[in-house]
Amino acid sequence: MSLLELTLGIMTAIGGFVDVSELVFAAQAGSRFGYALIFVFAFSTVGIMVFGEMSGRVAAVSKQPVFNLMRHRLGLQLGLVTLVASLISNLITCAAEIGGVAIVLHLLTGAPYALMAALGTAAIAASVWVLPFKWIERTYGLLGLFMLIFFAALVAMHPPWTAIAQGFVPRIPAGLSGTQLLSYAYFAVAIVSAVMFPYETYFYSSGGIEEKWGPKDLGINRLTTIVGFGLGSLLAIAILATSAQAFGPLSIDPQMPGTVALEAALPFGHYGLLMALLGMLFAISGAAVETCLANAYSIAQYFGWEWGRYKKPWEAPRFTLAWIAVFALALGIVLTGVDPMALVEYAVMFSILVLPLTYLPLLLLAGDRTYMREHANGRFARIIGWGYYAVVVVAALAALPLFLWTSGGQL
Amino acid sequence: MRWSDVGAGGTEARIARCRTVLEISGKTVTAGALAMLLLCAGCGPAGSEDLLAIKSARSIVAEWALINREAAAGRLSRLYADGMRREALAQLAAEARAANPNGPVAQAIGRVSRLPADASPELLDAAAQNLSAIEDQLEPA
Repeated sequence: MSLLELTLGIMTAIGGFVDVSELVFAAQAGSRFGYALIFVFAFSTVGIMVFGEMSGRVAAVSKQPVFNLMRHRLGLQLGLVTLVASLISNLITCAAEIGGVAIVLHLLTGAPYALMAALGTAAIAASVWVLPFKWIERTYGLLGLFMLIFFAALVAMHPPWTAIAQGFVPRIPAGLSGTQLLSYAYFAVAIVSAVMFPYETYFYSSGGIEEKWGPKDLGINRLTTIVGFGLGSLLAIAILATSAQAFGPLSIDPQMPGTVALEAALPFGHYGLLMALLGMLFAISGAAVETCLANAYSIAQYFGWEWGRYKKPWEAPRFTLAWIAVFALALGIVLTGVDPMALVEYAVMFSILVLPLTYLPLLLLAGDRTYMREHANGRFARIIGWGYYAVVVVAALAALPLFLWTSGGQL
Repeated sequence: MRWSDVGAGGTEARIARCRTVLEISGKTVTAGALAMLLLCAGCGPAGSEDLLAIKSARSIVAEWALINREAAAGRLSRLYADGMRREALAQLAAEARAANPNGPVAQAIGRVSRLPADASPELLDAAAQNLSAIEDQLEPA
C-alpha cells in the first residue's frame, strides 16, 4: 500500500469515527460534567482499537469475515442468537443515523423532516449502489473531515487546556449528589457503547475481505485502527470540550441534535455553522452506510450467500436486497415519528446489551491458532482483550438499571 | 462458505469449550439483564415526570435563547434558526404533555411555549430562570 493510500485510509477513519450517538452524548457529557468524562472516551477508544485490530487481523489471516467464522466454528444456534441480536441493534442504530441525517438536511434546507429522511435515505442508498466499496468509505470519511471545524472551534474558545488534559485522568467530579452520580455512571456506560458499537467490527472485518487484505496488511490494519480511531476519538473529545465551554456555563443540556452545530457557529458564525452541519451530515451518513452494510454482511455471511460491494449489485442479488431492505426498514422506523433523540438512546442501550455477544466470539477466534496460526493473540492482546471484555460485561449489566433509574441520564 | 460446510474443522473439545463459554456468557447476560429489568421496573424516582419535563424544558428554553441571541448577531443562517425554533417549540409542547396536566409544571411550560418564535433572548433567559426556580423546588433534598 502506498503512503497516499495509507494516509487516505487513516483520514477516512478519522472522518468516519463520529456518528449521531457520539455527537449527542459527547455534547451532553460536556455540558453536564465538564471535562470529567474525557477519560471514558479515551478508555473506550482503546477498546475499539483492540477489537477493531482483532477483527481486521481475523479477516486478513483467515480470509473470512468474523461472522462467517463464528457460524462455522461455534455452530448455527449460537451464531443465530448473535445474528438476531446484532441485526436488531444495528437496525435501531441505522434508524438513529437516518434520523440524524434528516435533521441536518432539514436545518440546511428548511424542507420537511420526513421528506428529508426519505430523500436522504434514497441518496445514501444510491451512493452504495453506484460506488465501489473503497469509494463508499472514502467519500463519507473524507467529507466527514468537515467535522474538524469542531477542533478549530475549541481552539478559538481558548479553553483551559490544563483542565482538558486532567480530563484524561480517571476521576469522579466532586460534589455530585446521589442522582447525579448515577447519571454520571449512565453517561460513562453510554459512551462505552457509542464508541464500541458492534457494527464497527462487522463492517471493518467485512471491509478487510472486500479490500482483499492478507497477512502482509496486518501492519496497515494496526496503523489504521490505532491512528485513525485515536485521532477520530480526539474529534469526539473536542466536541465534548467545546460543549463544556459553550453550553456548560449557560446550563444548556443539548436536547436537540442540531444544537451541537452551534459550537462551531459561536466562534465562526455562518461559515462555522455550515461546515459543522456538512461535517455532521457526511459523518452521520457514513455511519448509516456502515450500520446498513454491517447487517447485510451478517445476514449474507450467516446464510452463505454471495456478498460484497466488490461485486456488481446483480452479482450478489440477495446481499443487495438485504441492504436495501435494511435501509427501507430504518427509514420506516424514522417515519413513524419516533423522536430521533429517543432512537439514539435505544440504539446505545441495545448495543451495550449486545456487545458481550459480539466481542466474545471475536476474542475466541482471534486467539484460535487453527485459523490464525502464528498471528493468533499474543499475551498482551489476550490480557487487554479479556480485560476490556470484562468491562463490556459490567457495562452491559449496569446499562438497563442506570437507564431506568436516571430516565436515560435526564435526572 | 455454504450451509453444508458448517461444523467442519477444529477439535471437538475446543468447539465444545467455546460453545459452553458463549452459552454461559449469553445466558448470564440475558438473565442478568432480565433480572435487573424486573428489579428496576418499579424503581424509577417517584414523581419524576414533572421533574424530567421541567429539566428538559429549562434547557430547551436556554438553547432557544442562545439561538435567538446568535441569530440577532447575524451568526446563524435563517433556515437553521427557523428550524431550531420550530424544533424547540415542538419539544416544549411534548414536555408539557409529559408533565402532570393539572400541575404547575405543565402550566409554566405552556406559558413559555406561547412566546413568539423570535422572542427576545432576554425574555427567554427570564423564562428559563423561572423554569429553573420551579426545577429547584422539585429537586429532591
